Amino acid sequence: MNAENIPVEEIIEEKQIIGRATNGMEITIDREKCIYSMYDPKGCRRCLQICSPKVFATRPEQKRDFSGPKETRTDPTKWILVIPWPDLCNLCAACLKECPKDAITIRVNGKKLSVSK
Amino acid sequence: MCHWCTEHAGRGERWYTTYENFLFHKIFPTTTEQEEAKKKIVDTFADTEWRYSQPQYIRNKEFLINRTQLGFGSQIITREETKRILDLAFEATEREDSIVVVGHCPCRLVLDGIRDYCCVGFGMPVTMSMEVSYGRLPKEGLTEFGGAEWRELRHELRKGAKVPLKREEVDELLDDWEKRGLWHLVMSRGRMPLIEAICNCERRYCTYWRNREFSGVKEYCLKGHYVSRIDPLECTQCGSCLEVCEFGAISYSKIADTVDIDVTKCFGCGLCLSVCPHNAISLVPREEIPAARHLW
Repeated sequence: MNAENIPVEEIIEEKQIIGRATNGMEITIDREKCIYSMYDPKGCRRCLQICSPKVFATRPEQKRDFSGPKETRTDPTKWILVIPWPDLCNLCAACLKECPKDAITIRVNGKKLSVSK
Repeated sequence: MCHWCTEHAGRGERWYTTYENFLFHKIFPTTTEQEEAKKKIVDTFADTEWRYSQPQYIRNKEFLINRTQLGFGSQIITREETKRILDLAFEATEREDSIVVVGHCPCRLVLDGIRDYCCVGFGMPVTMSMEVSYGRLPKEGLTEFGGAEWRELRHELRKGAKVPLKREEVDELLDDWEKRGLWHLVMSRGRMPLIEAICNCERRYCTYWRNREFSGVKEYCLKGHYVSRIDPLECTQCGSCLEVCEFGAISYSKIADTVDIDVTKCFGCGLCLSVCPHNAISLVPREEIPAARHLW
């Protein structure tokens, strides 16, 4: 696989998280529908676990910074889903089938990818 | 001998079986160097999860090459070698203010959202970012760089943990992980000769292996010092080694009815050796095989 210095666009907005691949494919997670939670044992993380090329990842919402006093530091228990490697997606649509809230949408050149559940 | 052994070890030893490489105060002798190293630990360890989910992390070849020059690297080892490493690590805890702990794997946490407690860490740096499940609580001096922030959270997660961690318990855990089909990796994270952890990885999650595979920088995950070899007279073609090999080195030929190991693909993790029911597989040092001698 040629993975040399591909420019990646990873957009984290208030309502959605978008990962745009170089070939025009776009993955979107609706943050209002998504029920992902790192510290909740009932929290859903099925898209992370079903995806074999590992397109999705997770991380703390804000970078931890220990330089300031303790009151100003960010909450380390807040985590978000991100789509850092959309180029690895092979369009198997397993995440669309697995998502219980239909929060994920995949668009190829503007056309929505749909699956029958 | 890989190039790290010639650089960081002497007297025919390997770089991960040299006792000095386990001692933080030997590698950073002066106080200014120690302070700098500790500052670097804050930068690199407090944000492990953040870093691994960055798009440039496996994509940008130049970024990854620059990181290996900073002293990142790992090598695959066999189960026998982990015993020697653990001996030295426990010896180092008596010599200086150091610990051996079992914590969660950050790669699995980032890529799969699971907390899998299967990383053995040595020395001071590991307590910074890990939520420790087994191990002695660090002393006061160890936690001043970021570790103290996590102590309350860690304390809740640590309920039911065994304190202190014994040598035999780590051995038991390593045997369990070997049964799960995880291979072992000795690694240094940013301070090259200092040995900091034994990772127990799968191909699916291991960030270091992914870095090697995506960027082509071999230093991220060097092959081990051994290569597997099959004794064709003992082998019954049961296929248990075929299932366990994650590097695609073992193949079965239907015409000849034999199992072969490709020495150019073998990483020398020794998993096939542990699952073979007929003891048909043995480990041969890499220097003895001319075809694989320079393949790291």
